[in-house]
Amino acid sequence: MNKFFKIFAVASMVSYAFVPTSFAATTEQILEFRLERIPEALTDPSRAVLFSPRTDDIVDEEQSAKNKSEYFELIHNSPNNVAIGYAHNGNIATSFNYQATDSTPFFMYSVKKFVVGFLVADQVCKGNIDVSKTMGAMSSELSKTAY
Amino acid sequence: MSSGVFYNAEERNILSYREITRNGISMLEQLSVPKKPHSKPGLKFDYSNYDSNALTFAVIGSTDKNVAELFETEIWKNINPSHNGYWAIDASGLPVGAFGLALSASDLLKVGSFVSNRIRSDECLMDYYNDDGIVVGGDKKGLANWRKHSWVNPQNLNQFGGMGYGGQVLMFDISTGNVVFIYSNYADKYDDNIFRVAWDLLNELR
Repeated sequence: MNKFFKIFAVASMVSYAFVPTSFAATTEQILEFRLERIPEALTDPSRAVLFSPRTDDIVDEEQSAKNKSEYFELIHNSPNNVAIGYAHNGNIATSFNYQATDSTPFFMYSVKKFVVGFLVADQVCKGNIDVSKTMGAMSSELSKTAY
Repeated sequence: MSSGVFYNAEERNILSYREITRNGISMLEQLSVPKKPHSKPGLKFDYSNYDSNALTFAVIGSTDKNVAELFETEIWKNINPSHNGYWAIDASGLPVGAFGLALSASDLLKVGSFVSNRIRSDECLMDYYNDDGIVVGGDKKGLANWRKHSWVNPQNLNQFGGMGYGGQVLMFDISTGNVVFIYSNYADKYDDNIFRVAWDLLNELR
C-alpha cells in the first residue's frame, strides 16, 4: 500500500460522507470510497438507521426499454456515470457501470434535502406542522440557535 | 439551490457541509454556532446543510417522529422496497436532514415514483409544488422553503428534484409521473450538464 493510498484510507475511516479533497483522488479511489467504503460504514448501527426490504422480489429490469433508447445508452456509456435508471409507466429500468449493482446502496448526498422537503410538505398538508410558527417555537432546541 | 443560514463563510475554518462528517459533531452543535442570518454585500456564502438539519428538529417538535421514522412510515412502507436502505445519523444519534440517504437504484426510483404520485394525487401538495413552495417557520426565520431544496427545470417547471454534490440526481416530472436517477462520480463538484441530461431523459420518456 503506497503512502498516497494510506492517507486516503485513513481519511475515509474518519469521515465517510465526503470525498477527501486535500489531494486529487483518482476515479477508482472515489468509486471505492462511494460504492464500497460508504456502504460498509452505513451498516454500523451507530452511523445509520437501517431500513429492511419488504419483499424478496427483485425488480425485473425492463431490458427492452433500455435498448429502445439510444439516449439512455449514451448516458450509460459515459465514464462519469456509475448508474442510471428511470421509472416509466410502472416499469423500472436500471443500468450500472464499474462495481455498482442493483443492491448497491447509493449515497445520494444532498438529494436527501429534497426528500426531507417532501416529508415536511406532506406533514404540513396533513396539518401536523404549523407553518406560521417560527422554527424556534416548534423546537425548544432550535430556540437556542439562530432559528 | 441554497440551503442555510447566511453567514460569512470566510470567517470559518471548515465548510458547514463538512462539519458533521469531518468533525463528528451533532446537528444541534452545528446549528448552535453563532450565525449571521442576514445578507451583506461582499459576503461569501457557504453552501450549507443548516436548513435541512434544522427542519429535522422542527419535525420532531411537531410530529414526535424524527425524519427517518417519517420516511419509513410515510414512504418506505409504501414502496415495496427490494434492498436494504440507510439513513445517516449524527454524533448524537439523530437522523441527519441534509445528506446521507443511501438506497438501491430501484428503490430510489420507487421512492421517486411514490413521491411523484403523491404530489400528483394530493391537491394540497400539488398547489405547493406548483407555486412557490412551503416556507416553514414564519417570515424572517422562514428559511426552510422546499424550493430551496430542489432543482427546477427553467424550461419546464413540472420537472424538478434533488441533486447531490458529486452529480447524483433524482428528478421527477409531475406532469407524467416519470422519474430519472443518475449517479455520477465527480469528486467535489458536479457538471451542470447533468441537469440537462436528466431533463432530456425525462423529455424522452414523455
